[in-house]
Amino acid sequence: MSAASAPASDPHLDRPRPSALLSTVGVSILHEGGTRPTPLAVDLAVHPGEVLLVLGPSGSGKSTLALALNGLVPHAVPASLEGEVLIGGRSSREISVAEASRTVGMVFQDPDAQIVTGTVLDEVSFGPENLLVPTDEVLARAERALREVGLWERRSENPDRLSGGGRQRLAIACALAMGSPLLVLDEPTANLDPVGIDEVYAVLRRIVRDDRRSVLLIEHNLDAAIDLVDRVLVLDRLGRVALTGTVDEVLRHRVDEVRALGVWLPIATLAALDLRAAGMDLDPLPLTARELTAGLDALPELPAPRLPGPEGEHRAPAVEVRSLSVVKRGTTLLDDVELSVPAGEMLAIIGTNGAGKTTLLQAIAGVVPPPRGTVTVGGLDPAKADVRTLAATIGFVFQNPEHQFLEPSVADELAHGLRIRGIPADEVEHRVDRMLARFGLTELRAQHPFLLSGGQKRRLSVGTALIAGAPVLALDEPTFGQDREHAAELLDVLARLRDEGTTVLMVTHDLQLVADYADRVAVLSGGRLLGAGPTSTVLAGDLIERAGLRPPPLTRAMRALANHPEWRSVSRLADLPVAP
Amino acid sequence: MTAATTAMIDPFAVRPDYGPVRFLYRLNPLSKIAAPLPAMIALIFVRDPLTPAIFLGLTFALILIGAKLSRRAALGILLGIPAALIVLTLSFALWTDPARTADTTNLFTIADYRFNTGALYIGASTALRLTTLAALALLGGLTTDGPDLVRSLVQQLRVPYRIGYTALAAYRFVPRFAHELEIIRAAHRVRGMAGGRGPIAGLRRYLGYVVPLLASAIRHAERVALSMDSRAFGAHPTRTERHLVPFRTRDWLFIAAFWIVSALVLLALPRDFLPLIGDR
Amino acid sequence: MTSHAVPPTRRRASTRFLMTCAVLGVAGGLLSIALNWASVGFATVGVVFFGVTIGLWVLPSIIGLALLQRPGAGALIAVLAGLVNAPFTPFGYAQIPTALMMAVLVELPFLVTLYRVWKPWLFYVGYTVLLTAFSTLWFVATDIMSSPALLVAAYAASAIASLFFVWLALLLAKRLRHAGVGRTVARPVPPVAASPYGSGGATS
Repeated sequence: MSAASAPASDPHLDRPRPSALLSTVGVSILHEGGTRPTPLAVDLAVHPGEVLLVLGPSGSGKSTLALALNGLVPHAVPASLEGEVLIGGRSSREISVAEASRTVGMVFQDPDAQIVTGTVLDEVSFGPENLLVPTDEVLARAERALREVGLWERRSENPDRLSGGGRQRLAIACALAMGSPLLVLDEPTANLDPVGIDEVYAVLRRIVRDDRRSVLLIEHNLDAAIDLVDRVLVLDRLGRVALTGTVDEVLRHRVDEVRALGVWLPIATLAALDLRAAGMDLDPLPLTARELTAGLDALPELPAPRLPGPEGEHRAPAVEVRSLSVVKRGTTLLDDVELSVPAGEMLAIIGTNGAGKTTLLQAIAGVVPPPRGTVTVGGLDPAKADVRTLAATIGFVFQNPEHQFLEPSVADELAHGLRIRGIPADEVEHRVDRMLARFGLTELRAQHPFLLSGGQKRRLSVGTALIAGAPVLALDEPTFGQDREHAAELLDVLARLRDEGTTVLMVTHDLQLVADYADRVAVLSGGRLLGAGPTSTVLAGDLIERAGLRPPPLTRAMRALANHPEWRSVSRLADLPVAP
Repeated sequence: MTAATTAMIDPFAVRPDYGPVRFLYRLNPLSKIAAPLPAMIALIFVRDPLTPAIFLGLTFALILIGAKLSRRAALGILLGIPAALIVLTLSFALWTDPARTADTTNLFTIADYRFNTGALYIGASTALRLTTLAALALLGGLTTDGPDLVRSLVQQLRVPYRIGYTALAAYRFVPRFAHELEIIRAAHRVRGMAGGRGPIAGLRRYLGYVVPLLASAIRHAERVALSMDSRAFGAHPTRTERHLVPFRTRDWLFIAAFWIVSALVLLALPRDFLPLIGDR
Repeated sequence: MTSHAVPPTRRRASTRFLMTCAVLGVAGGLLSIALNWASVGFATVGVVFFGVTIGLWVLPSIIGLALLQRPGAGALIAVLAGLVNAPFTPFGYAQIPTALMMAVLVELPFLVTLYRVWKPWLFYVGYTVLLTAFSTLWFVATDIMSSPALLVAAYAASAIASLFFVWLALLLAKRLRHAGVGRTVARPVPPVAASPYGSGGATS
């Protein structure tokens, strides 16, 4: 137990206490075949009743660190661990993952990948059963855990029938049923829609309410997480601890350093920083939508926001949808949808799960051929066009880019769409080189597409969709499962394409990205188009609420303003005034 | 449990029970495999049509009494098996070398080809053998679900539970696999892979699905494994088992009765009553 | 309760390995569903169907052994394939014994070399011999034995088909490895005691 005192000597810890549930001392992890270890020499400690938020830019090794916190590294994942992870005072090397599970419960990003059994009740019982807990105690634990996450009434159902948020709440219940005092959650909401995110955080808030349990949270969606966090630890790009302290100390007082590290800040904070640069000092620095509202209301006067002017000239439509209905196995997925997308604009299709977003996008792109005469894309009816003509008119990017990769190298992957058209080899090479350069993939041309990083895979799939010269690009949830940094990077690529004349259609759940990037929004609910129009108009109206969605944080903050009525329709960071 | 939750019960989790007459549901999955096994092995080697015919009749009776069939399944069995029997008999008969049946009555002759009663006899016995094998397998197949079989493998045959849970996980992977395959096919079609007809192009297309399908599924499986390890999977040599699949006296009785009847049919039947044709 | 927990140093199949086999077992199961129905259909036109396609039935097992290079992978995949396809096919759970035979069969070439050789030649030679021999079972059941010409043809077809399926399995395993699949499962995780950083107190 002598090792348990190690965290006390850790210079990064603000309040050294000997009772840490979990601590790491100089932890570096090198994945098998990797070149540099991330995280690098990390010291951290989680004390009873505390919620620690771990932040860091993409590639800083946050998820790898999480895997070490219950001994999966090095016991189950082939990676080498340097330093010590102390779980309840014992080195993770000396105890099995099963032993560690009594102290540390884990919740991972993908809710689907955490289901082993056929019913909700069996799933929660799985862990305690492995620990040889007697049957009646298993059931008692399962009931407590399921009630805590609000799934007790659905205990006899197949977990597959739960929504994404429901499955992730189930994963939390499974961790709770282990009886461990510490929960480690690794990006628990990255694969969820906004409703699911709210569900998960409602549960987490309840769990940490009475300070009996501790939480180590890795999350990029700070807007949802920030109000339950006690302490923050920030990793830099190399995976080292850059900053640590309370929320105030790190996020309010050293916000410029945090931002410089490439960490994505809450949208309210980003807005406040922009305002600060424009001469409006909000103090304290807001971290949530509510704080931003309060901060702005406290200012006696504000300059006029840069609201978008009235719509410019109408360009010819690139996509037209006329009374499109789609019925599959007796269920109406789309009901009489009418939509027109001007060429060179970016359209976001939004709605809750099951609203028909993907069905609409797939019908437009001819992935699932629509009824004849209902869709026109660049003068073409996808119901009649053959695959190659269609691919030269509209490119489609699936939610998971791996699904559409066909070739064993990045360059061949791009060349595929040209070669099947019989384009001469030197022309193919020329166009592939251009596309590689454009998407920053030149160095990786010989790499197998499956071995690229998430962001690179996404860029490659956009490149393959466009290489045949399609003027329209359709993307199904292009930011799914990605952190905000990668999401923004991709949206920047799409915005550039749009500026060069490509019409971009995308299905997405991330309404703040919609607000900041899309020209036009179509809102679906129950297979019907509730409305479509310029982004600022849609965000200012009530369509979002009528579709069962929640407005993005900036819109919420501005709508709630008591003073400054001219600011209430601000929804984009770009609407904020700039320095005079 | 309230009425509302009972109505939502998932079929995956609940063992159906339709009373003592539909007795097959009340037997252990293993006994439904063990009981017909000797008969199935023997059937591979018998050559007369009567032995499989008797087994087929017995199996039919057991299924009709002991299993609760939907109207469609009942029709499928009552019409499908005889239909298969006729088609198989004729085609096996046509396959039979006429020289082997030269000493039996000729039914018709087309050019050089002589169709003898002996060919029909051989065709019927082969067809009956195959059909009866399938019917015997249906005995358990219609009334057992996969997870229960896996549980009894663990509980009675002492298969390590980590292997058992691997099988349970495999059952869960099936719908995911089918769903992913559908998406990958659509994605490849969009990329312009639809070109080319015929079996070679079709085979190439399917081979193109294999790598993305398996790659995605294996990565998913690795994540599931991490989640299982995090929940102490494999902590002890055994684990608490809430779903018991008992092996009771009735299972022994069922196996014993089945074996005795099988032995009687196989041994007591007068062999010379039905001559073997073409097998000397 | 903790007294007889499995110690962390015990060497055994990792959950990752088991779950990877589950995936290949599902692939084999789905393949077997198609083959089962095809064999019912094809029984009427060609009794050698099973004998010729036997390599296809164990294709996922061969892929698994080539990809993971671990003892037991082939057997586990074969049994799982049997369990998965059973509820959906005419021969149902009666296939379990056959699946067990397949399980033994796919491991044999590596078992006799004590799992030290994973070279392609062993796959080709081992499986062509074993699969062709195994097809005899079906040839007996379908009575081909009584026609020598047919029997020779059936054996030849079976051997050629086996060679082809081994080639296909090795090709797919290679492609999967290039796509970065199974790499982390293939090599056993070093036992904890042998960790390069030692155990116990902090070293950094």
